[in-house]
Amino acid sequence: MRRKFIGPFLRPLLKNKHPDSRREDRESKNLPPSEPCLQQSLVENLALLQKIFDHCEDVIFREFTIGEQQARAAIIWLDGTVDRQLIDDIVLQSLMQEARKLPPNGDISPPQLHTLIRDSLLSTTSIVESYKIPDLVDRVLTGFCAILIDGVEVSIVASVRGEQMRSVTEPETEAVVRGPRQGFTENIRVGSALIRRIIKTPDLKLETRKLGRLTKTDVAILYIQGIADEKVIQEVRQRLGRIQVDSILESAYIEELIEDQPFSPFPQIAHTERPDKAAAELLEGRVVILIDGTPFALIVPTLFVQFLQSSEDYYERYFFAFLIRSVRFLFLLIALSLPSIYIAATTYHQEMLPTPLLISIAGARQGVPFPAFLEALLMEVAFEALREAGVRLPKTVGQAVSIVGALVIGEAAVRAGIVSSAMVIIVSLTAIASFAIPAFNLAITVRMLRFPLMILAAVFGFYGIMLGYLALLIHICSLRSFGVPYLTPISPFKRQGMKDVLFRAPWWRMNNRPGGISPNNRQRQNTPRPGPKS
Amino acid sequence: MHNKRKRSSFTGLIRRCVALGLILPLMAGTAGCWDRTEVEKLAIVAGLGIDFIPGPEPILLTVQIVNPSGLQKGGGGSSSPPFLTLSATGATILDAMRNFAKASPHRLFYGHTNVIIFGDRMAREGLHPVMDYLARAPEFRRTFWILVTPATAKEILSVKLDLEDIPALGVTEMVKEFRQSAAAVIERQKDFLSGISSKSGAAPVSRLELLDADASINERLQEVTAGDSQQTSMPAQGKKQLRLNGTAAFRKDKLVGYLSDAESRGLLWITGKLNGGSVIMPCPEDQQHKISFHIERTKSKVIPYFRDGKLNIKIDIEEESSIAEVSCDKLDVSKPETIKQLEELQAKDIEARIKSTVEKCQALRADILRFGDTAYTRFPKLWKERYEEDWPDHFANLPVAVKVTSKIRRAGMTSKSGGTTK
Repeated sequence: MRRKFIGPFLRPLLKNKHPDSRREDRESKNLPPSEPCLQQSLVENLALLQKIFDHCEDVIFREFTIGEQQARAAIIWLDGTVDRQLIDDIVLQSLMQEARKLPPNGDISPPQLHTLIRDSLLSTTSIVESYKIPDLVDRVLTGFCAILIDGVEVSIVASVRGEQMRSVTEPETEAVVRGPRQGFTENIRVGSALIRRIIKTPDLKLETRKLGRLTKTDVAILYIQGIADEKVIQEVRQRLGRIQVDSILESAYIEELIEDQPFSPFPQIAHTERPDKAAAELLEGRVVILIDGTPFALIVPTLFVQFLQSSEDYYERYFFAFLIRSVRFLFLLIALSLPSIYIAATTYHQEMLPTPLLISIAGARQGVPFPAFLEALLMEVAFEALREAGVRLPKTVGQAVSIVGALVIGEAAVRAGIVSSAMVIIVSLTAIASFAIPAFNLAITVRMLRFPLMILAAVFGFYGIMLGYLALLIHICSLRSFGVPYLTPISPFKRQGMKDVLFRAPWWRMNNRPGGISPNNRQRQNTPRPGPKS
Repeated sequence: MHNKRKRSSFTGLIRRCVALGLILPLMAGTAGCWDRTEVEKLAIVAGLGIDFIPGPEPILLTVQIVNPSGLQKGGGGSSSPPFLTLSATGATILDAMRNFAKASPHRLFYGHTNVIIFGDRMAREGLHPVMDYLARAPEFRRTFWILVTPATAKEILSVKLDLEDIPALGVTEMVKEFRQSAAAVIERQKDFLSGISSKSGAAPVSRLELLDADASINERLQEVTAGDSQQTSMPAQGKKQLRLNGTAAFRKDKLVGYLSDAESRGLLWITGKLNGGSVIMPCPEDQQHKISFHIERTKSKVIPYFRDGKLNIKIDIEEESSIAEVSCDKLDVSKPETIKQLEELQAKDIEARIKSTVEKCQALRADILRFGDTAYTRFPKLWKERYEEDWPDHFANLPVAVKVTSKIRRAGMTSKSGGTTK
């Protein structure tokens, strides 16, 4: 992968192999020619496994005899990922106690014993058989308990998972005043269950796969058959299938590995921590990707306007949704361009400000040694640093940082005449505005784009800001997320979709699902307008 | 195949980035920053005054510059004044403006000049050369107010104004307030230009004077309390104040004379710009006391027509008002007949005012009433043939008839005089 980045310039010098051939090499290394199978002899199997799990002290081997048969057996599990109580109650109890009721003597051959155990002794729901060593190893590592019986070349693998996990709590990043208080947890099963609890239809499909050579992370694709677009589902499967990586630690890994335009500053895949939001997206025809180990689910395809919507818009009455969304759109513009507008207006277009405002800005700037641009840059960088410091520090210290930053530095800098009070207002307003954007990833983008806009404003004034706006507009018009234009429903224009952009139509008017995402099963509801007459 | 496509788009991006990296510094170097000025390096000109001094450098420019540090709130006892006035002379207005550079460390910035004051002499010499520059220069607004003073602009711009730190801004506020209460015709530059270039060839401009109002009031108070002179110790001389008073009439670009306050109001009646204001007149059968009306709505129509081959003007005014003050003893405004009588009296009063305005304008031979325009729109051919030349002379001899219809709609919150219930 690193080679690729030097690629275009240095490739001729390095005289590398063709990338395709390198790739084949790697694939062949990935798949050993033959996988070792289990043997009949328990001793041999155990020796092999003990070699594999050498220095893995949390993998426990427990040997015992089954019932009156005196058949040797062993169970293997990874301590910490299993529920010991379950092993005691279900596996050992049935094999050591219940098995005594079996007829004694050597009447039963080991394979028969195996069948018996599998079919009638183990009182647990989830049982699989494993023939191959690597498969067995994988399962042990994911919290299964493997039962090996002497004389049988198959292992029974029973799920006794019982890891420590966080309980379902309120999502911290997407809190609402009104609405469900549940959030996803790091456990993928909890996640899918939470969605299933909301959407109770067999049409809600879930396809799981393991990604990451070493982490073997469970990744699940969820969609509602008949509502989601088949092409998009297929595209998701394909893009996930293309991933070759050793680890998936967070949804961001997958986001970066499957997004459409990796060089764009704009986020092209939304994420959520809320099952109700994930369900809503599923019902609009989108595909949700759940990833084990993180409470964040990915949502594709993603539209730009999604980042400015919050689940609360749908839980409060629609008038309020309109009001609050207009504020968000306004604040998006403020967060993006207020410092640059200030720079442009005060250094090039003084005639555009109202006279009293100009006079007070000029008064505030008396004695400030830096030009407006440098001043703005200084303050913006200081703010970013302050924010970063506040995020990383523990909560108690974080408050101290904000006090020092806001009061001491801000106040002192203005008093000392190093920055003007007008600039402090501009920077704080911009900061507030960037926090008013509900999606954190879009807020980051906006914060980044602020700086090039400020440079443009410092060099060209409003003309530069307009150039910047145009470049951004052209760029986001060209973006696509899983085949859907990023600016849908604004451009291309979709009437149904426009009911949920700036203005959220009341539910009794949103008869169809938003256009552009999926062509299937468009009708959402058919309630007439409520009122006493109906 | 897929890999190849990805790579080519990546090289494309690299190329684009390199190109952008080369273009940006070039753009910055060639296009940017040269006209960059920080706000605090600007001398914001709030008001501009232009006077005429006969001689080699006849144009005297006076600028009122805002001094932001003098405006800082709670900045301690800094004694710097909130504004400064600078003057410079030159052969032309541009020349004078250039001469400012010699005296000011900051660039003079005219983007916020909202009021331009002409001295009497300047206005009489003709505004054409000055107006040409003001219309041509990009920095000036097209919306600044034009005022004429019988004194000099330099004097006016040095006077402090109560309640406003910067007098020029205060004057702007005054002008806006005045327009609202419809006390005088006040023109912006663009209106003035369109007025003098129209068929009428004349425009009104408000008159700003420097008045020692306190002095005359004190004098009068002195008279009242003449009996015991110990009690009053008012100074004979007060503070000089700026006051909008009357209208200057321009024929083409030259000032030809002033209209008084009352005549200015007649001008508003005719041009239909009166919205609000009041009419004060003596009571019927009782000249001592007054009755006043609040004007609610007016409609004016200037109708040009030909009689015996000669142009006539008829001014038709409909007016609605309510009673604002009644100090008459024997007047029952609850009676419909009284109202009728008052309506007629009011109409006559207004008629008289308008007539005096028209006569004044005719005497000045300045058609600031826009009769020429109206006549031309109605009879373009005839007007062009007979009146286009020497319009001011024709205007001076134009027969004008005035007809006012008054309606009193309301008597206010009480029907009895003096506010008593009986």
